[in-house]
Amino acid sequence: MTPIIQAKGLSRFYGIVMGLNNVSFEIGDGLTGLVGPNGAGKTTLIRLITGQIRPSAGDLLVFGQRPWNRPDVLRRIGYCPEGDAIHGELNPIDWLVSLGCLSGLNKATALARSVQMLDRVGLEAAHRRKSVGRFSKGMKQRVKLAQALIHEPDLLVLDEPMNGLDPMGRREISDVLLKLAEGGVHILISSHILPELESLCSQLVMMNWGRVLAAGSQQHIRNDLHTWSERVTIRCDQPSVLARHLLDGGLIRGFEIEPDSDAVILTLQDPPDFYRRWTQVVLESQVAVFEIRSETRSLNQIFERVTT
Amino acid sequence: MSRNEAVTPPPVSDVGPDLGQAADALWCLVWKSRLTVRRLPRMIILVALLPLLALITSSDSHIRGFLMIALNFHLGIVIPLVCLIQMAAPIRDEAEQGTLPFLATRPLPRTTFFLLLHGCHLLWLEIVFLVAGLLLLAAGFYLEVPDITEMIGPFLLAQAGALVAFSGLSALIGLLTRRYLLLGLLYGSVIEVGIGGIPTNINVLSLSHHVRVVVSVFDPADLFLRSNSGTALISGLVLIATGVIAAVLAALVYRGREFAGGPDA
Repeated sequence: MTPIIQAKGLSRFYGIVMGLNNVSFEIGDGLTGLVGPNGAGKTTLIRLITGQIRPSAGDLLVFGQRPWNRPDVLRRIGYCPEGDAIHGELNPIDWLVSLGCLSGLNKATALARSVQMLDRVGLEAAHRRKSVGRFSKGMKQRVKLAQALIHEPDLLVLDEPMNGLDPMGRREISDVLLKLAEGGVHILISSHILPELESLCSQLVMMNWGRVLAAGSQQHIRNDLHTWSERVTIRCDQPSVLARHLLDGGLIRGFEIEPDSDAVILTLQDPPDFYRRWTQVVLESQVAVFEIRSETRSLNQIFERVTT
Repeated sequence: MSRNEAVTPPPVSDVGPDLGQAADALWCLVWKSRLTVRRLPRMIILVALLPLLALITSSDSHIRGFLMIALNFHLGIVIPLVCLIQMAAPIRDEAEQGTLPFLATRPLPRTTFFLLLHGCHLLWLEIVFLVAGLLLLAAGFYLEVPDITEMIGPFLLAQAGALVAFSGLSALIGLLTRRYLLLGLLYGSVIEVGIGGIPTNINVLSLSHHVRVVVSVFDPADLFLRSNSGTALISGLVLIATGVIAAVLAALVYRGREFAGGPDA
């Protein structure tokens, strides 16, 4: 059994500009979110997955094969690119029929599927014979999603598909994606806004600076990233003395004293090590501790922290 | 994300479209995106300009003026230039507009996709120039150019051959460099105008020479061009072979090249 997408030491450079830097991960079935700020390497990764570009180093397998110039792999992928560039002179039906035929459907099937997919993405019948170039961004997004679905792919790769959609449109598209996932379609969806994906995707791949910061289930990522930069607030009678002892003991990276509340906010060096040793250090410092409070952050707060 | 329990890919029943189906789909995209209200005026100007020019400039010396427009200007300058502008960059244009990913991620081998797209653009150009050529010949008929009806066959065949040859060459140049216009003009001035104008056998290197040989089946054209150093059949085959070989080479270049833009925005 192989994962749907598998990257090993994958790098991609554009001349001297780094797009992806030595990333390794696996993506399984279901809905997976690819999240990272602009320039994180999401689009580069998506272009590699959809066979538009080749790796500079390392290996990328989709359905167990390299996707570059492989019709048998591309047949199974539906791709919705970022941006609203589209063959604007055509109406959505003509455009979808042509793209459906290019994906291996005959004309009659492509026509039937076009109508079906436009129904599914919620493009009203009244707009289906108008030029796509006259559409709003949200309508174009729906048509783009329909073209990715027309040949009923096994893997749907969507690059920022929610851009330009109003909240109701986002919900409708989310519902469509959830139904597709329930039907067995594997979906990789990218966004630079984590909350957009948090409610939709069971699995996440977090990226920044061309690297994968974390990948896995939301809980796994939360646990993983929590250790990166945990902060603890301690209220005691001598905050500066406690801070000095903890600093000397190598348990914290920095601290901040709040004089009004006799509290010290600690940035931990190594959270597991801190929780093992901190009671001993407090006893040695002879400081009276009144309260200890660990910050519980949402996934988004953690994500924002590690990507800024 | 380590997932040992990952999914077994379902069997692939259908690898991709057959060639006719893919060609039909691309052809629909090409002609429907070309024949639009926005583009129509430009096309009408392209088609009607030369007949009008022939009518205006040929009033004094009917035959010579008309042949100058039809053979030297139309076949010798307009067709190579239009091919260079229109046929060198279909892939680059799609990539720059951001529409290439919709086509290039379909299940077609890259060489096949390129050749089909090139063929569709060439077919469109052949149709447009067929109309333009017939209008030009109609202008000759109006100007009472002697034996004009005998010119129809050689002229249209030479035009079709020129389009195939110059389109293929333009496609190759367009894939080799982003500065295809500069390289094309350089090629045109050195090979077509320079070497092609030398009145020795070396001019067989020039495609324009072969175009002139094909059209010289029409006697007045032969007298006008004085390029009877070859047989029309061979020259016609040279034009087609050049176009096909250049297009195949371009497809092989496309097979190995990426046109998906730079790093993420």
